[in-house]
Amino acid sequence: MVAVAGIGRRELLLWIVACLLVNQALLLVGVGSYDAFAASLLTQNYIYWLACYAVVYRLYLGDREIRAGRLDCAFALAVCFLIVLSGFLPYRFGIGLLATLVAFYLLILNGGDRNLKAAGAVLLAVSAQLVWGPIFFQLFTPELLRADAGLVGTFLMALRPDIIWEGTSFFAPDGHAVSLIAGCSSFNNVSAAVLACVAVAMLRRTEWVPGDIATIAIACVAMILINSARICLFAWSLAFYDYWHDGEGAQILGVSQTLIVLAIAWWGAGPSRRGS
Amino acid sequence: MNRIAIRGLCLFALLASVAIRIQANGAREAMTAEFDAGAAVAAVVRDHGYQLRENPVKPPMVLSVVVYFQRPECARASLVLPYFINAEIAPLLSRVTDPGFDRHFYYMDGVWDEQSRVSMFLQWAKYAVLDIVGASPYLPVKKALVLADPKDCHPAVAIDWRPVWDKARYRNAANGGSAGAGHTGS
Repeated sequence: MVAVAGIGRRELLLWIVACLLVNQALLLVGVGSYDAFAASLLTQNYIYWLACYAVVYRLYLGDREIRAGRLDCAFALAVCFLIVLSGFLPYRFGIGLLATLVAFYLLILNGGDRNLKAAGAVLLAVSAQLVWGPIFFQLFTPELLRADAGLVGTFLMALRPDIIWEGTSFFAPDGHAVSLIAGCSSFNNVSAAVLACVAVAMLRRTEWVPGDIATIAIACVAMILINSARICLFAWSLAFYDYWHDGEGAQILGVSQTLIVLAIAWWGAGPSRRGS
Repeated sequence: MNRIAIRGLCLFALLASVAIRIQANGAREAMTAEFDAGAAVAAVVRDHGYQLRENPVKPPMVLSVVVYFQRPECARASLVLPYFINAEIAPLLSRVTDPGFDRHFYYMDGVWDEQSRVSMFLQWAKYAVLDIVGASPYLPVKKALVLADPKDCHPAVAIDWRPVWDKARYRNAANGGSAGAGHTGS
């Protein structure tokens, strides 16, 4: 690649990613008022932010000596223009599509720089969380919910045989009923688990090992089981539903899930498993 | 190209995108805040001269959003359930209807006999993009409606549900007009 600019390739890519992440942040954090900002901090997906940090960290460690080429400058100009245009579209998919584009650029045209390749992998996982995961879920919602309900129904038949299971609904004898309609699907937890595993692995090293597949599988299974247990609690009684869905229990479950998935991801990315 | 010039361009792109996005997000939040599907449905029902019925389920229960109304030609009440287009609404709907209820799904200018998630998503994407240039007649919110009429009920008049998302209606309400779909209680 011919160097045409006085700016380093690494710095140029950092500028692009900074534009992307700041624009993503504006979609995820409330900036209307201090109260909205504080409230939005409590509901953030911190795995997502860890992944953003991993992207920046890997780009920062990229080769400082390589100058930006003509293609890099043209790409940066095009992406910056599109980011400005996407500002008019206040939805995640605009910026998510651009994140996908930048991720593929980093994965394919990294010039052998492992840090750039690792940053591309994490950015691809981030864009999957922002745009491709929701689209996949939109296409297969009934099937995914039926799979969730099947697992929850199996657990409940063993633990609470008096709860009637019909399709994706559960009816307790006291009149309390729960239906899975979208938000409670394990799919959301699974996509977070994949993102956590990719982010932590690429934070600790720049190459993939065969054991990473097993780590991602373990994290996904753990998330599915925890989510199924959570839905069982919702179906158990109205009091449990109020506590675990709308009360303090929701935060306890959310923090526990995050810590468990991060622990699995950290264990999977550890030095002892690199040779596996 | 000069390093300072490239940095300047990047900084400009960052600041311009942030300024545009904050403005667009603010407009979207205002739009979402003023959109009340239940109130809009109730207003459309009243506009057609039908009488609203009380929903026995109260907030914060999910089914409290159902709007019941009585058609004179039908023995039992019909109902409208507003829902997010990415939700699987069949289980909830089956909890408030009996087998044999006639169901139709409405989203902006589209009507479906079955919940058509992909078509509704494309419909939303179309009007969200048109909205950028002010060419969308509808508010691009992700809420659709399902109308359920009792078995053996043959409505004499088909209700036009498009006003539920009609931007002009909300503009009139904001300007103190009489439509008020966004502010009427059910």
